[in-house]
Amino acid sequence: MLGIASPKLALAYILCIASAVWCVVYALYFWEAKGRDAEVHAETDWDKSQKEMEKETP
Amino acid sequence: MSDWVIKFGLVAIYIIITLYLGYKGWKETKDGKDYLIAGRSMGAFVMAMSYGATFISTSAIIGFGGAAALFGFPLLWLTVMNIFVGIFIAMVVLGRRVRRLGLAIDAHTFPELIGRRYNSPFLQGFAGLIIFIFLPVYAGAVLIGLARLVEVIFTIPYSTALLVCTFIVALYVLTGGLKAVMYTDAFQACVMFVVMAVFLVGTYYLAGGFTSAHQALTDMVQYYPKALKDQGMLGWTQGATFWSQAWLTVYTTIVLGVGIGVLAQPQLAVRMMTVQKDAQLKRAILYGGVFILCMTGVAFVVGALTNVVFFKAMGPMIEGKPAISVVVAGGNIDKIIPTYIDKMWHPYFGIIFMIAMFAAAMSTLSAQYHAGGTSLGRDFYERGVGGRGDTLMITRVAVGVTILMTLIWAWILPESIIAIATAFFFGLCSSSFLPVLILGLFWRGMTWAGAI
Repeated sequence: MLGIASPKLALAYILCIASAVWCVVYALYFWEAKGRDAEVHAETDWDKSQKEMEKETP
Repeated sequence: MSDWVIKFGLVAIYIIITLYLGYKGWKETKDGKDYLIAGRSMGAFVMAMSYGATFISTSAIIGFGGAAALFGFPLLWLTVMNIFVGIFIAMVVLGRRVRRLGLAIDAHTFPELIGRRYNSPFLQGFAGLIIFIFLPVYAGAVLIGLARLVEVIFTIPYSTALLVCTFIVALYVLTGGLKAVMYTDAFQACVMFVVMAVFLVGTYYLAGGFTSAHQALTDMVQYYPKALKDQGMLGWTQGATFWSQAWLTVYTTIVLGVGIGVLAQPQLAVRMMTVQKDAQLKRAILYGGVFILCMTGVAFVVGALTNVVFFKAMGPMIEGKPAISVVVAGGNIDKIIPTYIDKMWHPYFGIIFMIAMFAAAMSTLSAQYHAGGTSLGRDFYERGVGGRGDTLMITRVAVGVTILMTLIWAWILPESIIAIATAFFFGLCSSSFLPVLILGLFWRGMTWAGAI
């Protein structure tokens, strides 16, 4: 197929194009989709414990 | 107008635009957040093209293109992986969670994302150290690809090419941080896209047409290198014997190693945290998917078809050996694509292609310098060992150290190393970070002890 001896490699050739087309279709379909945006929690537990350690360090 | 004037004129225009975008990034960089994470203010197009340009380097085009001249079409499975895993899975499945988690815990780097997720400064510092030690090896391979091309096209010494390329990239990474890196990446990706599209069409033309070119490559099977046949390869379009040495090299080291390893690349994962909204990650898939097809897809097809073009033009024999790509390039697979450009294309295209490779290498190098520097400065020095000081200054110094390490690796790495070094770093990231990242994103029960 396509002048490629191995059918598996011909499939790889086709899948390269198909996967790019899939990306285009998926992106266009969800172009205007609204996502939930997480809030920033700058003061995480990690930061708190880090600051406590810094206070305790002479 | 002489070739030299055109060469330097086009390169000068390219460098001026790149430096202008670097300057724009520098002007917009006010604090550590801007320098480390581009202020979390990037749009879908810039993010996608920056991701793609960072992903695709001279390693992918020169190194893996040369490997495709040797192994043939089996490498196309890597393109399938690159698009489906490297773009779709990376952005839809992982990207959204990486962005949300990064935002929630205020992570500025990939190791910081891991460190804060597991509430462990040690993990952050250790991940930063691994990246800082090994990333320059991969970056060195990228730099080699660029310097080899400049060496062939400009006929200047290899060491001079290394130094000039390093200086130009260092200039804007050191000053502008991730904003400068991403702006320049997006421009460089556009250059790469156009040139690779022309490269594909021209190669099919030189090789005799679409199906005819593939058929000609199929018919050349009797000229396939005996050394590779002994390892289990059957031909360029015939594939490899299942579980043979060649099959394992192609499908485990290259296709799976590089194809999956991309998910845990620190310089790529950090880009997920640079966009403003989740929706932009979905939009980015469009640009990213098409871009990657036009990069690795074209490089692997063209790489394999160089055998047909060389054979038609120089064959059937050169000094008693078949006129296939690896013979024409003197046995060094890293020189196959540069030699193909040099011998088979108009010199002006050689100049344009060289600029595209400049773009490919510079975009990847800049991201590597930035990721290596932030890993050393922010993650290892500031968080891992508790070093104090101005984050911007510390990171800039660390980026400088990374640049120096890369230069040293580029000097000492052996020939035909580009594809191997790339596969090595991708494999390292897969084994070191991928389980920690994926389990950390999807399983609340994953602890720092398990991660370590």
